[in-house]
Amino acid sequence: MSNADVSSRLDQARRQYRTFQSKWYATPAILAGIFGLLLVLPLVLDLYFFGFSLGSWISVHVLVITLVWATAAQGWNVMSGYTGQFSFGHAAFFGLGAYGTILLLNTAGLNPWLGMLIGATVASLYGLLIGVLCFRYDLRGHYFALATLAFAELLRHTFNTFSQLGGASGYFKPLPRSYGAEFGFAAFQFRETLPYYYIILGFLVVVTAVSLAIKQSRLGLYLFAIREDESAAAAVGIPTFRYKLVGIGVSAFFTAWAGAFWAMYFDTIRPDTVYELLVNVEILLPAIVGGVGTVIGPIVGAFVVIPLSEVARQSVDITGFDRVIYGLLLVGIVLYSPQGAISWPRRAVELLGAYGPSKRNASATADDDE
Amino acid sequence: MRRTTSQSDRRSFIKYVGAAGTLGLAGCVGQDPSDDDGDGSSVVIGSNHPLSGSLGGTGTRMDNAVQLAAMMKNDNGGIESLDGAELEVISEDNQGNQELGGEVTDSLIDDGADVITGCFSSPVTNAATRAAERAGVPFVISVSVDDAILQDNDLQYAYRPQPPASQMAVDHAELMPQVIRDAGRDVQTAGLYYINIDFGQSVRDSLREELPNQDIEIVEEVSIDFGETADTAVTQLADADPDVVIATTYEAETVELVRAMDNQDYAPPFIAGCANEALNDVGALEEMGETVEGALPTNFALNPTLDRASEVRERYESEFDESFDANVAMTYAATEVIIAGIEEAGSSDPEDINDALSEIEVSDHIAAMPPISFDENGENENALAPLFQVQDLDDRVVFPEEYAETEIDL
Repeated sequence: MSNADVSSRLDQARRQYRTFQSKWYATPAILAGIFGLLLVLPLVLDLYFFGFSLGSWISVHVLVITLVWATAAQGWNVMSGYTGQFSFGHAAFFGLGAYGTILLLNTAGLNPWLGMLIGATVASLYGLLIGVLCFRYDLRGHYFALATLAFAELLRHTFNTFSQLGGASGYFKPLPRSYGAEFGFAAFQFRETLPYYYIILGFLVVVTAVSLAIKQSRLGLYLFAIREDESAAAAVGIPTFRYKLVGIGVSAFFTAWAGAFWAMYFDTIRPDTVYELLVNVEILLPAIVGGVGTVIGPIVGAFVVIPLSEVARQSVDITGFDRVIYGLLLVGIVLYSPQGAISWPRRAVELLGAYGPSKRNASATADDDE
Repeated sequence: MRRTTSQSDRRSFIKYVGAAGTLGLAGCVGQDPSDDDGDGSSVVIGSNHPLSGSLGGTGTRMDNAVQLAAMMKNDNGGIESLDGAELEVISEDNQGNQELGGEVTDSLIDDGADVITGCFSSPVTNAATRAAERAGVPFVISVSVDDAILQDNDLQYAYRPQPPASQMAVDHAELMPQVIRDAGRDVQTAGLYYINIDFGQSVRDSLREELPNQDIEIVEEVSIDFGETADTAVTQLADADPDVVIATTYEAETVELVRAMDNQDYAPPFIAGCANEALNDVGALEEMGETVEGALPTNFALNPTLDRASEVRERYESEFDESFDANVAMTYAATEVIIAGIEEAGSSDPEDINDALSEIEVSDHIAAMPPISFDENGENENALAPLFQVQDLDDRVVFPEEYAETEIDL
């Protein structure tokens, strides 16, 4: 094949990719592909390809953790990615989801599925409270971020202080028989890790579907208008206060799902583990690394951030040095890819385009999700 | 025309690449080439202890005790009922972290553990036993005192040879005053000094119930958190002036108590310890010095009247160059129970081992207590925490008489 043929084919590939991107079904199709892949991923972990297996690097447990943060990041994205109101306190909603589920289970023997919904509702109401207090006084930017952090810390100290809420020791997850159930879906407890994986994958599918529906609806249009220029949005008649409340309410509700799952997956929760500062970072990092305001970004970002951390941990024998490598990689990603990992395919295609004969539309860029 | 050619070229290309790829993958995809299902010639014990962090010193010694018990069994021909199958110990570090209790247990089970022991810190053990229960793998607690671990959870796969907090408190409240009064001295008031976590609180609660039954009034209760100084606590105790100060803490907090007492020149008539690590650790006793001479701790113990126990102690000290304290003794005894369970089961299947443990009675063990057998909660029906006295900065069992290695000296 001559160089001219190669260039021609690359050029053709670039144009086909652009055409695909512009279609309405592009994002749903990519998401379907991603979820299809995630559906079979745990089943192929132990297969060896050319003497190498994914399972030697990543376990089902790591995949579960990855999907937890992907779900939480997807929830965060609805609020902070779509409306531009950057929250640094989503641990509040994550923790309320976790505590709502476990606390009701321990004290009232309430089925965790019901507890999860109640916890998520409480988280949503707490989100609305934060929203009313912050948006009423027009807090934006750094001030809003700090306010959300303060609300999360408020919960951490509250749960830490009152023994009626578990105190510093928190709660241990009761065994199914203590609330009249057997291991299985109804009890939200399994003997193996794999069912947990499919549960959290299901959560991620639901949260992603809601996120996509919002983005492609009039509501999404309003939210993005607020993000681009809130004053201008208000000037054309969009009730910004109301729509920001909708954003934070929906965001809190689904972030709490991730917290509820966390509580049912691990054996114990404490204020210092579900409300801690690092949880706020874990929630927003996948969305930032993947691509803020995109639907696919939080999922891709989670699969960049979490396994990267795990691989770094397994690869370096010096204690703590893996965090250094992990940190450097994150800094590199954020610095050199400000639009997130979601922009990598487009940039690759553009890079390939540099070798193509046609330079038409070279400057045209399209949003991956549109 | 060109377009047709291009399309047919592309189809051909995809066809050939697809065929080649399929054939290639068929030859290159498979199971782990190093897969080994094992030959069934070993039984795996998982050791889930804190090997790093603030509890790392004690946890490492306990892990060594598990290793030694397996080593000595292997030296003596392995598991007889399994034709001499060897015991293998796999260890993982829970860092004394509550969240890691379950994770480490899961990991040990994934790595092939047939039975597990751990974890020292009660909250960690609480999480770990649940993970074992979920997986249907028996868990024999090495050291963990909190009653709630077994008594609140209806666990079918967890067992505890050592006395729990309530039993420790019962033993302490009975034995300590009895020994003092038998020696012609009196004790009427007590001050409690405890670590402010589940472990300390559960022992405190039990002492609150039991001491009044022995005509001892609690005149002061002070707690300490990890990393705090004990100066204020000692001031409060000195003001209350109890006949006996009973310490329930890990090593560092009792060392801190003694430092603060020395600084404030405070010396109660008696110092005692209930489930106290420091008063049974030779290194800590040397660090605390004369202040703790004559102290009366109640703890699980190595049976000093048993020749085999002395042999184990010597072997441990020569093998690991570490002191053999009460936690080591109890962990070794817990591993003996595991080994007896495997022998009884004649199988490495966790379910069979669990069935054997639920019915077992182990009389051949090195702990200072009667034969070990478990009730429906998994608690040892015959658990005992004998009374020690610190003499010449060494912990010596002084009561009950059948386990005493020396007489009390007040």
